[in-house]
Amino acid sequence: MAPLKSSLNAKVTAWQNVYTLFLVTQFKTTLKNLKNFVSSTAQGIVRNPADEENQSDKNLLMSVMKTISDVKDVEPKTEGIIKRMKEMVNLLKKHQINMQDKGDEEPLQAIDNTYAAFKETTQRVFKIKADILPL
Amino acid sequence: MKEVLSLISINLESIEREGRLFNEQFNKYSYLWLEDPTKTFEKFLVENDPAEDEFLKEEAAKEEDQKTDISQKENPLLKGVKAKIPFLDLFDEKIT
Repeated sequence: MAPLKSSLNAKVTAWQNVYTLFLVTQFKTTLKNLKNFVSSTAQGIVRNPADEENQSDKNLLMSVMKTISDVKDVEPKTEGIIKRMKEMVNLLKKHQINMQDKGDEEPLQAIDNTYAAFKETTQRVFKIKADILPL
Repeated sequence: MKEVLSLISINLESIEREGRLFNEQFNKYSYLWLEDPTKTFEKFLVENDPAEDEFLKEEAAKEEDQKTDISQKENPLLKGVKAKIPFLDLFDEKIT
């Protein structure tokens, strides 16, 4: 009876893993994308085209305008994506699924921190947008 | 002797019947050992695609009309992930 139990247990675990691994990957990839987006956006607005020393740099202006446009596109969708990520994490936690690699932040905390960084970066982007409007 | 043999036969039939009934209880779980989990999961994603939901279809159409936001397909936050997945309640049911 013990080998049967063990074999059944392995089958059930394999089935559960297909569903949980999918959600873990969805969550981790989306969080990584959000972090990358925050980082590339922050990088894109390091220099403000409205600053006196940059006003003649048309390439900088174009590149910052591209960053602003990307943020404008992504920003309205982000809250929904954050909500979905949190729901996924809560579901995985309910089933005691580990989502953290060694040294990783607690998943919900990681979402909140990254979202806070996103909002902060977005505000900086919109401030630059207002700065370059008269140019 | 005949009586003993008949008794054994009756008992064996009864054990067989009980065994069959016991086995039948688990028929509903036979997919666990008869089906391939990965293929079944792929089917689950297709069959429960929220794009098939009428409300979401309307929303998608509105979005297309407005053209104000980029589609989820182009959203860099959803790069490498499936933008539309079945409702999480369905995942919960499957995992439980």
